[in-house]
Amino acid sequence: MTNEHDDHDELARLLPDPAIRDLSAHRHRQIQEFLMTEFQPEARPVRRPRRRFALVTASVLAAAAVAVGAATGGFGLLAGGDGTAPDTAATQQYPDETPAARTFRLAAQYAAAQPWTDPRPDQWLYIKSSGSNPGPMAESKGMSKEGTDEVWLRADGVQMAAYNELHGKIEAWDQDNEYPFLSTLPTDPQQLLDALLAKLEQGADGAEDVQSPVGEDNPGLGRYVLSILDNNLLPPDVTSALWQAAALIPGAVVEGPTEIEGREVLTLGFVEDGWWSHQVLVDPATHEYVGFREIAVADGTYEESDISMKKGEVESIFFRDASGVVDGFGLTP
Amino acid sequence: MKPTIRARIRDGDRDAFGELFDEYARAIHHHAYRLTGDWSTAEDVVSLTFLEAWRLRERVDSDESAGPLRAWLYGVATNVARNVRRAARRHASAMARLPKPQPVPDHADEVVATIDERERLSMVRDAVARLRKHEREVLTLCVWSGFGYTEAAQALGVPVGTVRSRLSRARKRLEKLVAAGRVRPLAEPAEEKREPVARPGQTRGDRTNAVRFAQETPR
Repeated sequence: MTNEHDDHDELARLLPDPAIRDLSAHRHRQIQEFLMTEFQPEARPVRRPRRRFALVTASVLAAAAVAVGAATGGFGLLAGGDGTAPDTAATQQYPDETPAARTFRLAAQYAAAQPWTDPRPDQWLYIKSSGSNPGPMAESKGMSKEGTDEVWLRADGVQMAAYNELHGKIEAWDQDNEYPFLSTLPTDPQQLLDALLAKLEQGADGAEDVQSPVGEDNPGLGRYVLSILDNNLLPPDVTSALWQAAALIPGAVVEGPTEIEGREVLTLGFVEDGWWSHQVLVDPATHEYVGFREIAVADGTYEESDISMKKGEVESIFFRDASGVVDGFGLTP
Repeated sequence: MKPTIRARIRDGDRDAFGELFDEYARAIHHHAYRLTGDWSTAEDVVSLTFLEAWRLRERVDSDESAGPLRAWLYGVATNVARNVRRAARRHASAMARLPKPQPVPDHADEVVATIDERERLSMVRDAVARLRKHEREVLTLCVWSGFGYTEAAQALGVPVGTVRSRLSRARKRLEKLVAAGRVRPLAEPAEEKREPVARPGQTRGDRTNAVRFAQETPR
């Protein structure tokens, strides 16, 4: 049996420290000056809601999937349904299907049917969204009330690009954008969930967000899956699998159709801490993903903050305006 | 009575953050490289870590017995390194204002290392990349950054026993790599290390001037 000193010493013997380079004095000073400019006393520290999700093991999830019968049960429903008339064939094929499960299924079908050509490694995934941040948290963070978000992700995963307000132009920077990982996720929904859980476990022992130094916050697996849809443009089979994977997670809530900013949508999401929900917005006719919003579904207060929201208050809402594969950053489809 | 560094950080004292940066930027840069294996990303992690630290400053435990402040900072850095993209998106507007680094020839390894040593470093990087992420984190904290097991546990927010078990698993995985010829163990003591190998319980091994922070929270 080894003891901890043995482990430590043996690892030190096996592995010399690979970190052999320092920031130059100039760069050190440059970053420090940058940070001191960014550290503005009047800026309040950002608080995000504590979104707990008891990460279950893959085996438990698998058991849950079996229990709900391929996304046919176990889903919560706050009110209504998805408002669309049930088609007879689907009703017969999925007799116990809840409105949320049906919405996931149809969104998956829509996604799977979209045309696609895999991008070359030197091409870019382009995503443009526009919307607003009317909520109190966004206000406390000094975020702009409304705007357009354009981002380019290089398909080989190594760069991102966006508009640099300071320089007045679109610039690229070296950044792992996760496209290679996400675009090759398993297309079996359960295997996909397992892969995401493994990533969460590997990354942070169940805490995937960069908000706590001690990893105390769990993101909500459902929100994690849906946020991948928000932030990426992925192959149809993977996108479809993401919808199907979300359907395996208990607790989904669908409402609508409802009109939001002039658009009729279904809202589909998971409620966290009993009051906060990150929802994807889905076209009620085609079940295409059209955007997302963050909303208080009950009165609530952000953890460790005095910022409260009333039921129905929206923190942020964005609609996707365009997406596609382009040959260079700055270009649009 | 002069406020403690913890109190100043919590209160958003910019000078305190400046001191924190002076104390830890170099070590965080190394820590980030060990985790990501990329110097450019490591540099981003440095900036993002301090932006995150500022954002999260009220989470610093005001209890002076909460442990060394560097555990908190390394915890932030480790979380940033786990998902740089997410942190970069959160601070996208700020990062856009960070001056781009001047392009420099990527020859630092050549300057400090012989051909043999360069080959060994390459094998180390390859071996580290084969570890699971949480094993890599424990390895970097305990073996290369001089954290004791308790402090590493504080930084990662896991029980001390978990730190031990992860280090043990990392060792076993590395031994298999050695057996497979993927990693060559050091033949001599690590005199070329920039940061001395620490032993469990050691509070800081890489920078003497950072002891001040650790001393403020004696355990």
